Order: sequence, then C-alpha cells, then structure tokens
Amino acid sequence: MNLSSVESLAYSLPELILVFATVGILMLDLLITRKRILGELALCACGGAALASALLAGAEQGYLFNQMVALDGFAIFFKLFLSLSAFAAVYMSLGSRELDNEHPGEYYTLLLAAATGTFYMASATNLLMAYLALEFVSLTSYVLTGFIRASRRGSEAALKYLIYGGVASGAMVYGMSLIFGLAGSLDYATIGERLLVPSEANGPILFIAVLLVLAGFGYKISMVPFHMWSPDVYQGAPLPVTAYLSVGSKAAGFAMMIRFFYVALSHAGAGGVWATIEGLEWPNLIVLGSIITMTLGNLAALRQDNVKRLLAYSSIAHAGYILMGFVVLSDAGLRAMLFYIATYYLMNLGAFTVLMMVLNNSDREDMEAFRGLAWRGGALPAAAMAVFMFSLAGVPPFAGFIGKFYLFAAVIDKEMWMLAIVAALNSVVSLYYYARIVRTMYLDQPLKSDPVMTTDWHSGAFAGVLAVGTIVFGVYWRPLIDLADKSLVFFRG
Amino acid sequence: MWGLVVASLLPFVGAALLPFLSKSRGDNCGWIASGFIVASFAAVAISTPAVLHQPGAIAFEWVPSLGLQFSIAADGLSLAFAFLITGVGSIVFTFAAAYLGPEENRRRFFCYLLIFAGAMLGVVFAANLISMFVFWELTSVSSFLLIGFWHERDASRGGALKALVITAGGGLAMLVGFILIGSIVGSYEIADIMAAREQIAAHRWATAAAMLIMLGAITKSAQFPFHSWLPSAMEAPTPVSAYLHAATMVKAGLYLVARMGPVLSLIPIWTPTLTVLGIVTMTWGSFLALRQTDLKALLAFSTISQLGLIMAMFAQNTASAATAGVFHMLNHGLFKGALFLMVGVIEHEAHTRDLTKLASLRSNMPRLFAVLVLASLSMAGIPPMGGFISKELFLEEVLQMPWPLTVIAVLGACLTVGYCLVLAIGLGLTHQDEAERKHAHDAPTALLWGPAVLVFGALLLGLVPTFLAGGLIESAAAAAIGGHVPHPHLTMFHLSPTLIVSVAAISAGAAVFRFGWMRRTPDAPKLVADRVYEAWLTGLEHNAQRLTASYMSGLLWRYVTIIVCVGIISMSALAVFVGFDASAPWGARPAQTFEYVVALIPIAAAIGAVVAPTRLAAILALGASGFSLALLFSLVGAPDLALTQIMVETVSVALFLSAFVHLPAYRKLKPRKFQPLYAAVSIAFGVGVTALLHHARGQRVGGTIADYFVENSVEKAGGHNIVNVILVDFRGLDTLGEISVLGIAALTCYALIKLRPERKRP
Amino acid sequence: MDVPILLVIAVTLTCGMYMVLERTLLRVVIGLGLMSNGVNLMLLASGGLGAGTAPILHGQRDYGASPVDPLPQALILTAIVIGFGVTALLLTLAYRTYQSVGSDDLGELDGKLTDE
Repeated sequence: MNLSSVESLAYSLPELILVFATVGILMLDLLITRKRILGELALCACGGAALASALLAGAEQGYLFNQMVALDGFAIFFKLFLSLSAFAAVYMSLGSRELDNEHPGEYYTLLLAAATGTFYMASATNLLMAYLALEFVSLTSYVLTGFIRASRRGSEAALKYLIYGGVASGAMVYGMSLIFGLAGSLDYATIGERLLVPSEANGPILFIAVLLVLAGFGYKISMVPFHMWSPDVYQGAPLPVTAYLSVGSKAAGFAMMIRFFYVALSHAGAGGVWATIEGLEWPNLIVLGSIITMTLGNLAALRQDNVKRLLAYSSIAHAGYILMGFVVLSDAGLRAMLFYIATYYLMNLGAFTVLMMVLNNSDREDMEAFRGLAWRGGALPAAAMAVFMFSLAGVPPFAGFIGKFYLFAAVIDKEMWMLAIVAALNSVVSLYYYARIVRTMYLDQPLKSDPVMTTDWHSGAFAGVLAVGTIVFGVYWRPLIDLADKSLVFFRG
Repeated sequence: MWGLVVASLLPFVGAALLPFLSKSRGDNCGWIASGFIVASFAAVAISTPAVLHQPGAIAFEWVPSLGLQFSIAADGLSLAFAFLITGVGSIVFTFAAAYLGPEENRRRFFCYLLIFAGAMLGVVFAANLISMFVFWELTSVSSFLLIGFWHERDASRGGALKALVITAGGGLAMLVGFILIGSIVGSYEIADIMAAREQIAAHRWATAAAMLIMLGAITKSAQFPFHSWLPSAMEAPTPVSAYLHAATMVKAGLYLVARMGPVLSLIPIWTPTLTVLGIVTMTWGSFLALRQTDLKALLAFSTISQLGLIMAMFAQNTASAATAGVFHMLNHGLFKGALFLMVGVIEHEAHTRDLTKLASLRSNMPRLFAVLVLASLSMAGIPPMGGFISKELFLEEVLQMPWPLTVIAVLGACLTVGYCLVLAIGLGLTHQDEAERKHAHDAPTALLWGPAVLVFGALLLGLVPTFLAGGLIESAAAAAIGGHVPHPHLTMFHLSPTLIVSVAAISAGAAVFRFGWMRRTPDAPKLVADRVYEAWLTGLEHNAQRLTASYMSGLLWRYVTIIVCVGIISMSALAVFVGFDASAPWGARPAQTFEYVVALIPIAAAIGAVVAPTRLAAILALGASGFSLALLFSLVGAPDLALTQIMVETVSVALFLSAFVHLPAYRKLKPRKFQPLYAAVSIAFGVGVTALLHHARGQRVGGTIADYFVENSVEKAGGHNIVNVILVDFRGLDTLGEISVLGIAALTCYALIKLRPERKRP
Repeated sequence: MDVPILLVIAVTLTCGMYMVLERTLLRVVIGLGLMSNGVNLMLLASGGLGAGTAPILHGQRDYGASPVDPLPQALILTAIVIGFGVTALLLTLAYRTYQSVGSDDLGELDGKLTDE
C-alpha cells in the first residue's frame, strides 16, 4: 500500500502518542507545580508508544506519507525497541538525583521529541526524510547533553557535539546530493533499481557519495573516525541521557544505516543472501571500519578509571561488534545485528542503571566508587553489575554471549577470518576491563571512608529486571531470535 | 540416565537453596552443601552400571528454530570425570566444612563451590558443543570468584584476574573453533560431529579448527606456554586448590582433548603438536616444581607436569595410550586431592607452608606424615600405589615415540621422583626446632580422614585396579578413541623393558633428591611465562593509553582535522587506484563575464570573513556571503531559494549581531603547533571537494522524477510553482519535519537560555 | 555559470574549513556558517546547473522553455532551513558555554574540565 499524508495518520499511532505527549508536557509545565507528574506522563507516553508499535505488527505493510516512510517488520521492531529505550531513559531520569530541580518540563519534552525523531530515522525510506529525522534527533541530543546547569563539562561537551555533528551532517547532505545526482531520486527503492543496472554511474563517485553519507550514519553510531565526540559527550551528559544516547540514538542510527545500505545499495538474492550493486563494494570499507572501531574502543577502555567514560569507550567497541553483522550481507548477519542490539539494550542500560545508583549514593562515577561495593550494603547492585559486565564481555550464560555467538557464526560462515580473529582478540581485551570492575566490586576491600550503599527500590527494581532479562535471554533466547527473524522485512514497493 | 540428570542438577539446586537452608551465620551450610554433592555422587554411582552397559543421551528442546537442543549424553569417559568431580568433591566439601572458620563467609563460599561443581558436571555431560562451551566458561567465571575469595590478599586478586583472562580467552578461541566445526557439519551435536569426522578432516578449515580448539584445551589445562595462571591461582583457599587441581577446571581441558580426540586426531597437526606440548610441559613443570620452597607452589607445578603427561597420552588416540591416560587421571585426582588438603592442614597447624621453615612432620604430625608419604609415592610412581601402574603404562608409550621425546619424557619422570621425594622424605627429615615443636600438634581427625580416604583409594587402585575400575577405564578409553579397547590388564607385577626404565628413573630421581642437584631458591623465581604475561599486559595498557591520548586530545580542531584527513586520504587513494577522468567537460555553457563579476562577491566575502580584524566585520562578511548566495540562486532559475535565503540570512545576521555582544572580543591566542597544517588541510578540503563535484556531474542514470512533478503539479495539486507544490503537497511530511526541526531548535534555544548557570552570589 | 560557481564553492569551503579549525569560538561558528553556504551551493551545482527558467508553470502544461530540475531546490530549501536552525542553536550554545566556562578559547575546552 502507498498512502497519502492524511491516510497515513491512522498508521502513525505511536508517533502521534509521542507528539501529543510532547506538546502536552510543554503546556502542563506552565500550569502545574508538581513537576514529577510530567515525568510520569512521559513514562506513560513511552509505554503507550511501545504498545501501539506492538499493535502495528499485524498491519499491512507499505509506504506512508507519499513514500516518505515505510511501515514494515523492520520499522516496527525498531519502533518497539526505541520506545522501550525512551521508556528506560525517562524511568532513569525519574530516579536520578543529578536531574533534580533541572526544569523537568523542557527536559521531558526534549526527550520525547528525540524519541519521535528516532522513530522516523528507523522508518525513513527517503534520503531527505532520513536527513531531517537525523537532524531532529541531533538537535535535541545537543541540548539534552548540556542540560545540567552547573555542569561546565556538560556545556562544553554539547558545544563540541554540535560542531562535530554539523560537520558530519554537512558531509552527509553533500553525499546525498551526489547520490541524487547519480540516480535521479532520493527514494531508496528507486535508487536501488536505477543503480542495479551497471552503468558508468557505478564508479568511484558513487563510492565517495556513499562514503560521505556514511559520515552521517557513522557519527550517530560512533564508528571510527566519527567516534571522537562520544567519550566527552557521554561523560558530560546527565547519566540518563548518556544511557539514551548509547542505546536509543545509536540503535536508530543502525536502523537507518541498515535500511539505506540494504534497500538502496544491495539487492536480496535467494536463500537470505544479499549482493551489493555492481561496482560498489561497500562491505570491504565497513569491515575495515568495524575492525578499527572495536579495537580502538577496547584499547581506550583498558585503562579508563572513570566508569562512565569506560562505558562510552565500550559502547564504541560494541558498535564495532554490531557492524560485524552488517558486512556479511546475509539475513543471518542482519538477524544477529537485531538480536545483539536488543541484548545490548539490556546489559548496557543495566550497567548505566547501576552506575546511576552508585552516583546517586556517592556523587562519584569513578572506579573507586565501586570499591568493595558488594561488602558495604550493595550486594544486589554488585551482583547485577557483575551480570551486566560478564554479559558485555560475551561470557555465557548471559544474553551478550548469545548475541556475540550469532555475530561470530555469521562472520565465520562468510569466511571473513580477519574479522573473526580480531573480534575474538578484542573480546579477550574487553574481558580484562569488564572483569576489573567485577574485581573492584567483589575482591577489593571497602575503605572506612566509603559510604554505605543504600539501594532505592525504584532503580533497584529496574536493574533487577534488566539483570533477569540478561540471564533469561542468555538461557532461553528463542522469543527474541524469532522476533528478529520476523522483523527482517523491508518494504520496497 | 535420569540419575545423571539429577546428578548434574543437584549442585545448582543446592547453590540456589543454600541461602535459604543455612542458618544465619552459615554454620551448617558446609554440611548442607556436602549433602548435595554426596547425593550427586550417589546418583552418578547408581547410574554407572547401566551407562557402562549402554551409553545414552537425553535431549530437551531448547531453541528448535536453530536445531539447538539441550542434551546430555553419558558414556565411560563422562563417567570417569564425573566420578572425580563428585567423589573428590564429596571429600573436599566435607573437608572445607571443617576447615573454614566462622570468620569466613562460608555461605558464599559453598554457593560458588557448588556452582563450580555443577558447571564441571555440565561440561562432561554436555552432548552439544555450545552447551559445553557455556558450562566451560561458567567454570572460568566461578573459579574467578573462588580464587579471589580471600580478597584481602593482593596476589589473590591478581591471580584471579589472570586465571580468568587466560582461560576465558582460550575458551573464546575454542568457541571460534567450535563454530567452524559446526559450520562444516551443520550441527553442534557431538554425536553428529563424530559421525562426520572424515568430512571434517578433509575440510580446508580443519587445521584452523583443530588449532583453535587445542588453544582452548591447553589454556584451560595450564599447558606450556599458558601454564602461568595455575601457580598464580594457588592463593585460593586450600580446598579450592585441591578441587581445582584434582578434579575440576584443569581437567576440563583433558576432557575436551579426550572427547574430541576421535575427530581431531584425524587432522595431521593434532597429535604431534599436543604430544610435544604435553611432554615438554611435563618435564618443564617437574623441573620448576623442584625449585619451589612453597609447598603449594610445588604442588601447583607438579599438577602442570602431571597434566602434561595425561595430555600427551590422550593426544595419541590409541587404545593403550588412552587407557594409560584415563587411569593416570584417576590416580592423579586421588593423590593430588589428598596432597593439597594435607598442605592445607599443615598450613593450618604450623602457620607456614615454606619447606625450609617447617619442622619435622615425622615427629610432629606422625599420622599426617604417613598419609603424605603414601600420596607422594603414588605421584612418584612407586609401588604399591596406583601411580606406579599408570607410570609404567606411560613409559611403555613413551618408549615408542621418537627418541628426543623419549629422552625428555624419561628426564621428566626422574625429576618427578625427585620432587616427590622432597615431599615424602624431605618434610620428614628436616631439622628439629624445639621452639616450633611446642606449637605444632598433629592434625585433628576431622581434617585428616578426607585425605586418608583419597589415599586409600589410590592404594586400592594399585592393588586391585582391574576389579575396581577396569570396566570404567575400558569404556572411557573406548570413548576417547572412538573405537574398541581391549579389557585392560592392569597389574603391579610384570617384567618388561619399561620396568628397567622405571627403576632407573626412580634411582635417578633419588639421586636428584639426595645430592640436591636442583638448587632451591628461597624466593620462588618469577616464571618466564609470568614475565611474558605481565610484559604483555603492561605493554598493552601502556601503549593503549598512549594511543588513546594521542588522538583523544579533547581539542575540537584536531578531531575535525583527523576526519578531514581520513576523507582526503581515502578519496585520493580512490583517485589513484581507480583514476578520475581529468578531461571532464567544464560545463555545457561558457560563463559570461558578468557572472564572473557576480562570483567575485561571495569569494571576497568568504576571504573577508577569514581576515576580518573585528567580530563585527567578520559577521558582516558572513552576511555578505549569504546574501550573494541569494543572488546566485536567482541567476540559475531558483527564485524560491533566493527568497528563502534572503529571509534566513537576514534573521541569521540579526541573531549573530545579538549574540556577539555576549562573546568576548577577538584577542591574540597563543599560537598552535602545526598552524600551516590547518591551512593546508583547508585548501585540500576545498579544492578536493570541488574537483569531486565537478567530476560527479553529468553522470546520471535514469531520468529524474522531475517530469512527474511537472506533469502532475497542476492537475493533482492545483499549483503552478512546482517547488512550492513539492514542498507543501507531494512532500508534506518533509515540510512538516522541517517545521518541527525549526520548532525544536527554537525550544532548545529557549531552554538553553533559561537554563543558563545561575550567577554565584558573593 | 559553471566555472564561477565552482570557484565560489572552492573558496567558500576553504575559508569555512580554515575558520572551523581555529580556536576562537566565534570564528568557528562563522566558519560553520560559511561551510553551510558552500554546501548549499554544492547541492545546487550537483543537481545540474541549468540554463533553464524557474520551475513555475504559466499555463496548464506550458512551462516556458525548459525549467530547471525542481527537486534539488526542495532539497536545498530543507538544507537552508536546517542550517539556520543549527546556527541558532550553535550561537546559543556558544553563549551558554562562554557563560559557564568563562573562555572562548577552544584550546581550554579539552575535556579536562572538572565541575566545581
């Protein structure tokens, strides 16, 4: 189906819920004095959006808004996932002491606006729409990063983030215009059709155009060399925002990138194998990106004593892992990516939640704040953190292992030895620094000066749910992999 | 079979229930945990006759869409290991229950220990490579926590981390190997893999897979050159060391080699590499053991050495060698468990485990000394202990190997006798210190009966081996070679060339001990492998830090320079390799003079913005650049753009003018390094991008869809200005998006200004 | 109209990039403004610089001689508008950063700040 703008509204329930909540919160902010209600409203909106996205699963697939966005399994998977990410960010914000007295009205408005933008990033089938959605999310992220008034680090990070983002999106727009010049269309499916026929257009210019567009995507998913903003920004931003950037905004970047590269620059063959269009061997380029990204990320995390910054570098490394599934050009690889993104949600958000609990308790976010955590009242947060750390390292029986297993299986199946070996070595390096945190929590003795850890039920329950999810999906991951399987549907007219 | 399911589940159930069952101080949790492991042992023992008669498997659906099932399979090989895990486990658990004082967190300790035992049982009963890997890594993780249990000690924490990194890292290599095999066969079930072994051996991935799996086995079993984690792990509480060395963890590597032997020994690289590694490890380990003064360190190196021996046997994949391997493994489990527990008792009673400081055990702890001597004799391979028979079987195999290996192996046997005599005789004969004698007293029976039972088992294995374990060994060896094995005739009394070698080795070992050929160093020397590990680690950390610091400068201009340089370099590379057509035409239409004149305005404006001495001048120059852009737009047939540009530029300039008063005036900042570089980068950027643009033009495939808009603009949308129609009609969502972006930008600006930091009140 | 526009693009981009790589905050912002002007021109140029007339239909099917491609213009319009939004935000953020950090020297903003 190919619906016009007005007809499409019937299929935009998740987005509409978010938009109405965004505007509603902005209005309510002026009227009420008990600001906590705003956060709770935002939470309900995210939950509602998740529900509405799930309900869309049965709908007919097709184009919405005159072929600007697609409604297909892939989009629905990400809509569901992205509303859950926003839900987590709002939930964490409600429990964060950093954000107390920080204008909740604007904060939740911006957060929900960012969430709306990510929805369109995941479903855009038109370069212009993708660019708009990306800018929309970027603009809100800049401000969210610098949201805490007293944080000089936050302001500085926001400024750098913006300038960096400006350069990247400039490159992206230029790349898009080149692609438009070559293919005569901004629509993914049409670009795919036009470029499928080998012609002189499939030359180096196209390759460079793709490279330029990649700058925009790479910036969102923090792929080398577009990753340099993330440590500063992750460290400077309020913790719930950092968590959201590392999960929601990154996943939306991946969704956008997958859709563009698979729909516009590849075509599906038999048996779940994809092929690039002739003359454009983009997988080689991204193999290189994946290898360098995971290596630089892990090496930088190795000696990091600030846990927030460590998680930033580890998040770069994980982008490298996820890209492993991107380059193999097969349904198995895509499935592994979706699966990994979902498990990454559990374990990374979990790690950030525990970090937030520690931060709330001691106003510190460095390694020493974790010293002997298990022996000074923080047995449950420490246990949960250990689960998340081992899962991030890819150790069974946690969900992260299953995700990594699928990625490795997909890569090895394609005989990409170099990638597999580098990834395996990287996993060992990462195990070292993840285990260092576990060691600090369990094997180091707390000092007398370390505060007793008090666990509030609000964050504790969330960390617990995520930890249970990490374990359950590590042992029984069938529902998740089935969902990923069902979501590998790209509507292309 | 169901008995075995129960046996492998019991430890996990125990671990889960322990916190609820035990009293608040954890006084009784040792006994509860022991109850679970003894029950597990009983379940293994009851199931044994049936399984030996007919090996079996049970499968549960796990992830059917991937053909993954959770299956357990049992044959003689699994049973032999399961006996060690639960049998030695029963002794270790009961020992630990008496050994650990109330000041330790016993509940946590036994919880970890039960998980550890359960994970090991999982490894040996797994019928699927992936579930085996899961349990394999679970042993690494739980041993990490156990080794670091006495976390007050620095060495203990370092040892725990090292053990985890080496074994889990090796495990990861093994996983890659497993995936390779899984891809070849199309299944991860061990039974399917056994059936497809010829296919695997013929595949071109075979060597890689074998090497990777071997890496997993030798890191786990602490084989040369990955042996350094095992001595570092000795800081664990003694019962953990005993369990780790005798029955679990390091035995997992042996199990893997035995289990995969029938498949992987068809690959040419497997047997020779493992044999050489095993023999070298054996001799090198026994040499290092001789140089230790710390009793636990001595035992740790002896474990490395003994594991090398067993590894070499399993690598042969022949009936006789497999028999020797299985039998020696059983022996080793018994005597090594006993030895470690006794060292724990010595440390407990004498408060030291330094060989040179210990008083004579013969007079101080006569009962313990007697048990210790018997265990050492078994390790040395001296009658009437079981170790003698397995050592004979080993020498028989070794004599058929190429002569350099034979020489090394026999040397290793001599050194083994040497360090065993240090334990058996050295501890009994050391000088008598009256002062220490008063403190020391013989071991309490509660701690002694466990080692005594183990040593009694080792003795029985020497006296009636065939009766006691003949069937088990036969079945296990058959599974390890994937074929038929004759019923073993294990006997103490025989005459053969090996006996002569054996006697010679024992005498040489006695000489080694008597004449103290191996100088003992007071401080245990640092292992070469240890130094390599540490050098690697510090080197990696140091270089990683330097690398990161070199590009993560936090300076924005460097970040942008890096990106631009990467872009320029990759495009130049492309230009060199693919080649650009330099003769692309310069446009369809020559430019007229007035157009050059018009172009001069934005050029001058851009240069003016750079050189402008004041803020105001720079802002006005930027404005001039923007307005001249509008002029250009109108010249090329884009009046809408021109209008928009004029609007936007007007507002921008106003914005700049209102903002700049809040920013400081231009001032001289201190010059940077590489200033010319930035100019060069900018020029390369500008020229490169323009060249690219020029080249890109005129390469269009397919028509533009512009015609569609021209056709339908009036009919469908009723508008004559096509651009307007596109914006408000065909691409309505886009425009809505633009409006939203502007709206959100306005909101963010508002929020930022409202949220500005409050001035501190003086 | 080709050569002059290419020249304008080259100079504008070079000057813009040079200013972005500087260390004074305001100059970086101005540099980004120049860059966005350059990029807008590039979009126009890569969409094909026509000798055509404005894409405005005069009659039912009568669109003058040969209208230039209207689609790139829609793209550029978007880019201009977004560029404006970014510039506004950038200025505000620059103002805010200067307020909170107390310096407009990017060399001092090297991520090593600590919150008071």
